[in-house]
Amino acid sequence: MATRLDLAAERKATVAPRRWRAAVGKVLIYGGLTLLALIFVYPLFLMVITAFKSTREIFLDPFGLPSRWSLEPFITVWRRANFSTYFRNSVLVTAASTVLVLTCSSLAAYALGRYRFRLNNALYIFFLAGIMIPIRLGVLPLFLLMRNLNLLDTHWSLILTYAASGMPMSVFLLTGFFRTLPRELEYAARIDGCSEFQTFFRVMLPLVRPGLATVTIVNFVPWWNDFFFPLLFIQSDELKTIPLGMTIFFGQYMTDWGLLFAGMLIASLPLLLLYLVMSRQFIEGLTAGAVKG
Amino acid sequence: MAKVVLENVTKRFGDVVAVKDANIDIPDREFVVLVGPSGCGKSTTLRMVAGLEEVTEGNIYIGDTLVNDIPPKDRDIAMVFQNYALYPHMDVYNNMAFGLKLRKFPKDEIDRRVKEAARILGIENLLHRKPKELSGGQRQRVAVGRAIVREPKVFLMDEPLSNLDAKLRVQMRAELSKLHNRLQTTIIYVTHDQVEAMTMGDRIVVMKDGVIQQIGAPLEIYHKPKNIFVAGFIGSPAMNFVEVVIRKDEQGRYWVEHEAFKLRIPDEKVRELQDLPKYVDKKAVFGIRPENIEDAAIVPDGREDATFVANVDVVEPMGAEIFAYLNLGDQSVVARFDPASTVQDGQQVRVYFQMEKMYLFDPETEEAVA
Repeated sequence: MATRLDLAAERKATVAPRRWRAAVGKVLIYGGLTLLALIFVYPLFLMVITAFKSTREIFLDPFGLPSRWSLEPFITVWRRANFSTYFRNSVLVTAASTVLVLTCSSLAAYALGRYRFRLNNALYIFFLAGIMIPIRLGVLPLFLLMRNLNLLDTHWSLILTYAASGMPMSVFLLTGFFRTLPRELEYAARIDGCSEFQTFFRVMLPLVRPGLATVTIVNFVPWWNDFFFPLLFIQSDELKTIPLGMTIFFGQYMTDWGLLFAGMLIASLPLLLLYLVMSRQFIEGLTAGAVKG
Repeated sequence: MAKVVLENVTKRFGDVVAVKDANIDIPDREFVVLVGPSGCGKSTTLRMVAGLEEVTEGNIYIGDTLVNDIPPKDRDIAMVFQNYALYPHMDVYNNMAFGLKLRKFPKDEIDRRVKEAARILGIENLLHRKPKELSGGQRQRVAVGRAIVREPKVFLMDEPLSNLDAKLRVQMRAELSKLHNRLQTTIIYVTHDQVEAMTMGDRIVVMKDGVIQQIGAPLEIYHKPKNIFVAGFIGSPAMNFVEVVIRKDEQGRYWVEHEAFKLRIPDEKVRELQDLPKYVDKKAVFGIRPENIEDAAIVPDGREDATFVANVDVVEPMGAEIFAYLNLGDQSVVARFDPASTVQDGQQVRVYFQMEKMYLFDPETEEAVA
């Protein structure tokens, strides 16, 4: 009896500091994460409040809340010049590039990741080499190429350039994903009656959805924000994308900062939406349950 | 429902011969088990039947059709894999229905077949779960269900029970046998587990290093192994092998002689082994199964010329039986005693060898002496 009591007391003595330590650990972790979240969220918050202010207000009280909340700046931006056209162009170009790069890179990665053929490794390394070459180094030949193809001042010049520049990284990422899928799944699909393409499209592709989400986000953001290639390729105002179109808010003598921020806020909404939708895919372990484990 | 015939089938990966000149004739509705240690070519053989690997040489027939160049989907086969290979993004219902959907079966027919298979396998309540929400045994059933809804000519199973725990494996073993009786379909089953092979197969194909060692009914292989490998592979614990010299005395009686014992070969065995005279005064490999070694104290009418005293190294009481490791000088022999035996570690024991159940193998060729 006595010994049992001793044991219980001893256990309590060892448990208490351990619990205390766990609590401190939790506070540190959550405190750290909250701080990090603030660092990331505050600029967004600043962008939102600035969008509602007039230029005068911005300079008088840069960090304060706006004196009035009205949707007027947003409506003005949307109506001003061709902003809605720019927005549509941006969506079109970025979406088309994404679809193109997803299609091409997933097919290429599937072949590289799962087929045994002689030049497999050489091709893979060829794609990898593309990661090391910044696409802007090729500006001059790219420009000449687009001119020769008669694609200057069309959306195709942007779509093709973006898709091509996104291929190496996307192929690299997706090949890794495809390689992790068990061979038996492919066998099962083939025996169940899938053609080669159906095996790819109906069985393997859905299983690399986290990879596709990663590729989408990795590529979508820089394309959406890109200023350089539209500046290079696009002349007609009705073909401009948001980053290029936004330059109308920078006057030589005066800049309407409120409107500029309102435009930026509208421009960043699709990205925020994309992150919200896609982040779940990052986390979701889709292959769980395919095989034993 | 179809027979399967392998005719001089060879598979090479580069310079490596995975399967060499395999000839197997599987009649309709037979449950054939390909068994052998890992790397013996059994899975490769199965994958060639499935069409997942190309045949390097030889022919494979399913029914009366030569299938060498027919893709897997047109061979009318279904396969169950060791790791189940369920489609993780589909629920159980769709995992089973997928093959039928691809073949454009009408919806109500698909529904009927999936529900029927689910009922047979007892997974009706799991139809809308994803594979990751299932236990190993349940996944295994779904994988089998996916195969049976197709109502194929031939089932191919590649170590389907190897990922299950021991208890579940025994249970599923019986269920698969029942399923075979019910479906009356040809099944080709690959395993490295000789117990599965013995208990489930109508016939067993024992393979080693890509070469078929023996084909036969389980008991035929157990009683008449063709060589040392088969003899040692089938049966648990494995058969004991002792290198001996064959002697013949003036009265014409044959003996196996070893430093630890000298045992008489019974006359009926001598008549059976026609090549025995060739081995007189030569080395041979003497084989005896653990179950054919008795504690002489329990079998009092054991023949004197088949009895000798041996040292016991270790005794393993299993409840229903006792495994005794006998020390025969240069090597150890396992005996399977009746649980009534009172033998202890380190003791000496009089053992009786049931010599009418002995085996003799050629030390060079490792083939059984004819």
